[in-house]
Amino acid sequence: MSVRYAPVGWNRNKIIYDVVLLAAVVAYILLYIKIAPSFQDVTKPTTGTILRAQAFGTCAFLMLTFILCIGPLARLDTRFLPLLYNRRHFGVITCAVAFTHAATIVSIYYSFSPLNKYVAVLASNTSYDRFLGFPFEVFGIFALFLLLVLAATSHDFWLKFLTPPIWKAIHISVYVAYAAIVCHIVLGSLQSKQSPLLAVIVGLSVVLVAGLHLVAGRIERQKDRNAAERADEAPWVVAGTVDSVPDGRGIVVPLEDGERVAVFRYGDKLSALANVCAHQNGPLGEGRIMDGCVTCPWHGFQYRPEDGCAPPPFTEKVATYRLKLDGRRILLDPRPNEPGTYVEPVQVTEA
Amino acid sequence: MQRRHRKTHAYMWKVLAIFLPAMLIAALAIRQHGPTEKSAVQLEKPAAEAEAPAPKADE
Repeated sequence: MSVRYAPVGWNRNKIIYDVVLLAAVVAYILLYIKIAPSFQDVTKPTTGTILRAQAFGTCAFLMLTFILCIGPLARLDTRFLPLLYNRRHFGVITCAVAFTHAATIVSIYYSFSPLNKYVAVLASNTSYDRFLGFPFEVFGIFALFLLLVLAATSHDFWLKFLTPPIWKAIHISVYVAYAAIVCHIVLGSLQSKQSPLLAVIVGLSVVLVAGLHLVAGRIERQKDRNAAERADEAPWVVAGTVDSVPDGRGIVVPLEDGERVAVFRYGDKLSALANVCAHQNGPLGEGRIMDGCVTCPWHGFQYRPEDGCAPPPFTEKVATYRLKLDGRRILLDPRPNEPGTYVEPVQVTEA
Repeated sequence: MQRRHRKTHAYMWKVLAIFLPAMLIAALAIRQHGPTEKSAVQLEKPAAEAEAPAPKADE
């Protein structure tokens, strides 16, 4: 079986992103191992191996917190878009850090068990009927399993093979992984720690991640409420005015059914495409015209504005919409054409 | 984002925004404290205090 897809190659931005990320991870772990002993209880000294496990565990949690903040931050302020660009590499590195934490923990606490050490992880505590004392390890194992699945399917090959709706449905489980990690910490490490520092960090993470997602969701709902008005003539709706669309840019037009359309102006032409990028559902209407193509602000996927097709060798397509002018008003037919359907661009004359 | 994806997303975060803080607060509220975390309990008065004469009732 083969899947026809054209991979997006490495570029300078991706390399810089990864180098900075890896340097930050190494710096955090070294710093933790250096500083953490000065905060520990002198009556309960911690060994170097346990410190390493703690460093990797806290690092993975903080990285996941950061990853989950990138999406809503990019929705709230476009200056965060560069962070979104290579978020999948961030996720894969987080998975590797979390895996190292788990491997270190298993080697510390279960290596000398009479049982197989991996069996011992699940067999050492079976108090599933209790809240406090619940085997918190299962939350960590479950979260690690999800992170491994997400990392393994993060490549564009899987996106193409599974199709974007299925791929997105799988990758939304990162929120479940985050919830499992929070449960893993609050029922595990937090129960044995005297210092309130970890509780404060977990609390701040939950407030930040949940708060940002709720705020971003609220803004999206408000946008959907301002659906385009119907024009006098059915089925046309009023998408805006010619002057409201800056040259080389687009506007996002919410429809009554909750879908959104991106209307772009390029020179004296106007074209309309579905607002959803075929790559990862990025908001095309917030992108720009570059090289004559609508360019997604998330990962730079491009589509020709008149037919919604990605330029060769790429094969992605998005739906197109019909437009017409009524004076300076742009009217839009809300019925989508098949992805890749050519629609004659509307000619704009200067007022 | 597609409408369906946006709705799933919003629904998940409404649930998690309640569940996660509740989980954290509950786990902290009923957290058991080990004997070494409790404040010291005085079993008997320090020797110096015990030897000092008790104040008279009419003073």
